[in-house]
Amino acid sequence: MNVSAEFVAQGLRNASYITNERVETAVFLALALDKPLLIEGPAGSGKTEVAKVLARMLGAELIRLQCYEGLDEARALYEWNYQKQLLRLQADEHQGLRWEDVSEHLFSREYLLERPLLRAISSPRKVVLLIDEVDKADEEFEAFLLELLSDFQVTVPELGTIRAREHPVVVLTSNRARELSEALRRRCLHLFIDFPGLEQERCIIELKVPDLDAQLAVDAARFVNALRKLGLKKPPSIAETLDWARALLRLGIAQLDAPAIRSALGVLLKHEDDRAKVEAKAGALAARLR
Amino acid sequence: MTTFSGELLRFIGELRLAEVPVSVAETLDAMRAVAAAGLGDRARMREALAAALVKNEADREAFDEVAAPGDSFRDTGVPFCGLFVIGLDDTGHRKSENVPRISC
Repeated sequence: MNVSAEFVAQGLRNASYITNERVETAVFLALALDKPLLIEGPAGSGKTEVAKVLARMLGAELIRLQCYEGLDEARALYEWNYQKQLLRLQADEHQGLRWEDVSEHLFSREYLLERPLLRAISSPRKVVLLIDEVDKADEEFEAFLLELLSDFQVTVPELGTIRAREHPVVVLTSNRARELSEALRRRCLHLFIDFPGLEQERCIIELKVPDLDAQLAVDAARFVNALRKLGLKKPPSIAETLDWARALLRLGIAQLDAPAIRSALGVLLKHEDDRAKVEAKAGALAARLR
Repeated sequence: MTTFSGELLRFIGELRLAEVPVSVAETLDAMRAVAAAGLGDRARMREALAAALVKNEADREAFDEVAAPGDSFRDTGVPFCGLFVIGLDDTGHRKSENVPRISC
């Protein structure tokens, strides 16, 4: 794809995605070299958001494949529309057609249910294909992805090989629940996105929750940053931080003291253990902000 | 004469010595990546190489070490060793005068 690094940097900024040179360069290269981009990092650090922003930036449709254990080709690629085939078969029977006449069109595109991967491949326009949490899928599925990722084509036995008319922009994300294979890694460009630093997170809060008091935004960023160092079961994500900032705004909180911290903790922490731990430390955490 | 691809291969050799696995296909990707990212912006070139060559965050440290100057290079003011010592002006052209050959 013919893009410049500046176009990508500007595009990310226009889409209100606060980022750094590392992210910009990786996204730019994925477009320029026409290669899949594998994004790893902790849950809630903004990996999926990259694909969404990319789609918005390119004015392209976002096709999402959410991976899970047991995901197979029928759910990811295509499936024959069995009910429709059966109805057709019955209708044809009444007209006294022979099997040879019927079977010819029973296995045509008309009876194919397109799942996300096939839809991305056969789209006449450029699309962004997000293969989300690929580490949750089985190794067999990962192996099956390899053909698609290196050749942008898939094979349907009854129809033959379907080649992408427009190569989709492919983004894969992983939380590293399972180590991905070297073969998959080799075919992708790699990007690691960590939680944002203090200053970067403050920028994100100010950009997305502009009505929040500036000092409160600083404190909120520092507080969340401190929480992520406590070794919680589930450290707060960027999205949760923003929800929490909005909650602070709605609650009319002026200063982040211990009662203020306790008041909306459920927005930030979703595990009872984490919550109890932080509530117990609310005083100390608030004191550290002063 | 030193060529750019020669320097890149040398850099990748250093990476392999530091036990970062780099395949031939990835080497070609790295060349295309640098060609796309351009040579003018060093930080961008560095990230371009990282995206093409470092497929595991655990290897990033080793990459940074290979790409960063060791203590002995700090005096020269040259920001990177190996590949990165090729003197380039802002337009990405080679400067002929200021390049001390540093072997890493």
